[in-house]
Amino acid sequence: MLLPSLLALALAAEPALAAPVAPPDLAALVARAGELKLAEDPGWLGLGHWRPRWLPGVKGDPDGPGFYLAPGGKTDPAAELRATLAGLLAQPPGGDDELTDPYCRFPARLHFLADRLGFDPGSLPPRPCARQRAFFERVQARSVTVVFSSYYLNNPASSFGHTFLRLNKTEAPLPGKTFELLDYGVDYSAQVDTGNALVYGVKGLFGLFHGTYNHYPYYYKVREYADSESRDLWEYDLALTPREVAMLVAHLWELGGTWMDYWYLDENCSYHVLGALQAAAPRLRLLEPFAFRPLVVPADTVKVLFENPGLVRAVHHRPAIRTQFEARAGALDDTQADAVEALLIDPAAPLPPGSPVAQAVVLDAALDLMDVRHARELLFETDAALARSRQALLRRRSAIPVQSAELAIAPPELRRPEVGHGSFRFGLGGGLLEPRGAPRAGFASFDFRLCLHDLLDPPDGYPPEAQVEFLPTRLRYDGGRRGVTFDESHFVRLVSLAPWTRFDKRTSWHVKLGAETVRDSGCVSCVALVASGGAGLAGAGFGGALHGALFTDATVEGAPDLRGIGGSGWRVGVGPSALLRLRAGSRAALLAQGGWSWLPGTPTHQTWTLSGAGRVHFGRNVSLALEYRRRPSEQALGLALYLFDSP
Amino acid sequence: MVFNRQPGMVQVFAATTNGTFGSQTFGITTGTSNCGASMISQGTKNFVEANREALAKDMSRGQGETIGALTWMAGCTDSHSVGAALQQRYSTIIPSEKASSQEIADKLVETLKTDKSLGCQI
Repeated sequence: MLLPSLLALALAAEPALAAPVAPPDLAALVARAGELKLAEDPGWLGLGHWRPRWLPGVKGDPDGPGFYLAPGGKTDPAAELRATLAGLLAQPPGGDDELTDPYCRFPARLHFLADRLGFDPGSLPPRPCARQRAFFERVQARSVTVVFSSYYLNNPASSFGHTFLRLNKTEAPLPGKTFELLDYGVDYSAQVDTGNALVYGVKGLFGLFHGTYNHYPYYYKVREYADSESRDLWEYDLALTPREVAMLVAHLWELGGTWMDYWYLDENCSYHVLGALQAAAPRLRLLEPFAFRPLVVPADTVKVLFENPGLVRAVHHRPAIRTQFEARAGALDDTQADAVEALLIDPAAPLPPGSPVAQAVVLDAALDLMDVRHARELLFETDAALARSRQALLRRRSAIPVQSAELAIAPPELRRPEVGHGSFRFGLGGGLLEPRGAPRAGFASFDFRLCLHDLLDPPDGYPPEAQVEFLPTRLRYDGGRRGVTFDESHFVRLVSLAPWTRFDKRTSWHVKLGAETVRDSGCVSCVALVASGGAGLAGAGFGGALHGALFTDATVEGAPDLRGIGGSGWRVGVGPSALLRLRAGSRAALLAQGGWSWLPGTPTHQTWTLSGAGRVHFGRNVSLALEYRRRPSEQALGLALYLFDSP
Repeated sequence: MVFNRQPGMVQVFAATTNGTFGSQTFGITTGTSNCGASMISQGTKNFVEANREALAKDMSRGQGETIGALTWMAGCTDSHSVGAALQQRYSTIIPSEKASSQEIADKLVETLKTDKSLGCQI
């Protein structure tokens, strides 16, 4: 009975703003609400998820039936307030389904209205609300944490990171994280009904999925993100009052019963995590920075938490399985590292001579490596031989009567998402352009990118080996031709470098999809649709300062004027490409790239590109760049200033 | 029910693994307020099922977060001694990679019950 009473206590703890009115009279309460302009109160607007729109007035986000009691409540907070009061004060509807009773369905609204209008919820006819109470008892929330799950390029839905809530059973974390696994995670996610990436993309971009709030024991989330997908989790403990915690739980109950159209770009997981918090704690400024923004990036929602002074009271890092393995591997000598590799091939392979502790260390590393490499096969039990090897390794480890020491991993503070540069970038530049067979002329360039990060951007807060860009676009004013031209724009541009090491042998890859001006003899500056991708190998050195990669690429381009295969407007290119990047801490970076493509069946035969760029960063939101690019039909050298911005 | 170290497996896992809220009109699941024997077994089974890979690894190492969670669920004295006991009995509790989550959960509970030195309260 703790939580309902906690809820009642916490909610009663705040002094009522008006003198108590008992028994409540609907007409009087409605009049009082009108006098107080309660329908315009941020607390009420938050609970109904109404927000300003381009048209006059407000509109609520929830789209499922039953969330708004008044006809037209979605756009009319005052009507909804009257209907809610009427529903709360009415006699219980009876029947088995407590959800038809606003008293059970809307506990947060009830307490908000009771508090502001000064009536006692206890004066309403009592009802058990068994399901609501069971939920409160199950989560037993005492405090709240926002969890950020790091960037995961292998799943388009996770490339920009992800956030969700954790309802903690303790007021503050206890030593050893012992209890967190048993807390409840609450996320807002799309009910995905397709395995087709294209259908997924279209439905996600155009709000065609239903988004719902769900709750799971936190261990499911840890297994999913930290183990299966190997993503580090950052946990932000919030300083909310007991009343706010109780209101959040009560409001999540209200939200759990409805759905909203899920928009991948703005009304996404992170937006609605903030929306739930905003409703529970109207004193915070969480949603407003995102009003009218076309995109809500999870890392930006973490930054907004920090813009509310004192809201984040502690930050914790939960290392993913790969991070754990790397920490273990870092402590091994060469002989031990050889033994780890041998154990993955044969779990009975000999261990290097040494103390039981030294042998346990080798087996511990081998077990983590097996899980890093084969997380999915182990989870879905698709490989019987692998499961057998793992069991043999586990038995072998358990036979050494040494209890492993807790793995101490210093949180990588520079990877915290909130220290990263702004997600939006724009740039202004200019320089010299030399078209083939034409005189040298000046150019000016204008860049913008909706989000997020490329290999040369300020490195803090982002994965060091990934580029994730959505709608990077460049326009150019060409002094020789006296006109603004479209240089390039990509729907997405991704690069994932996975340096090849003795333990980590993954493919590096890159893809892009968009439109570019063709700069070879395929056409005279026509704009072609481009889809391109490549896979290859990467290496790193000098403590991660130097990265190099070699790829085999395939490209498809199409434009009406393009001299393509057999007189068509389409051509296919195949060939190698390479990149080399050098970073000087957080201050500067250099990148050289080159690629060559064979264009079979076209009069152009082949094309190539060569570029070099250097950037110096001034703080985390300003970069100065020197860029050189050479293509068959032109070369350009320019300076550009890039500015980053977050909501 | 007060959240505290208290006898019995706590009803953390009360029946909800499908994630839906009780306020949803489909997939209705609710917990009960009983901490009965079947709840202990069900709770452990859900836990074992979801954490199977991590739990087996932590048991073999005699240390880890899942051991801590089990220690707390079963109200045992400290996770260090629970870790040692589970490590020692690894092959009994998980005799084969084919053991079902229910079998593992049953043997886990039995181990924690039988070894009085662990002070578990189940």
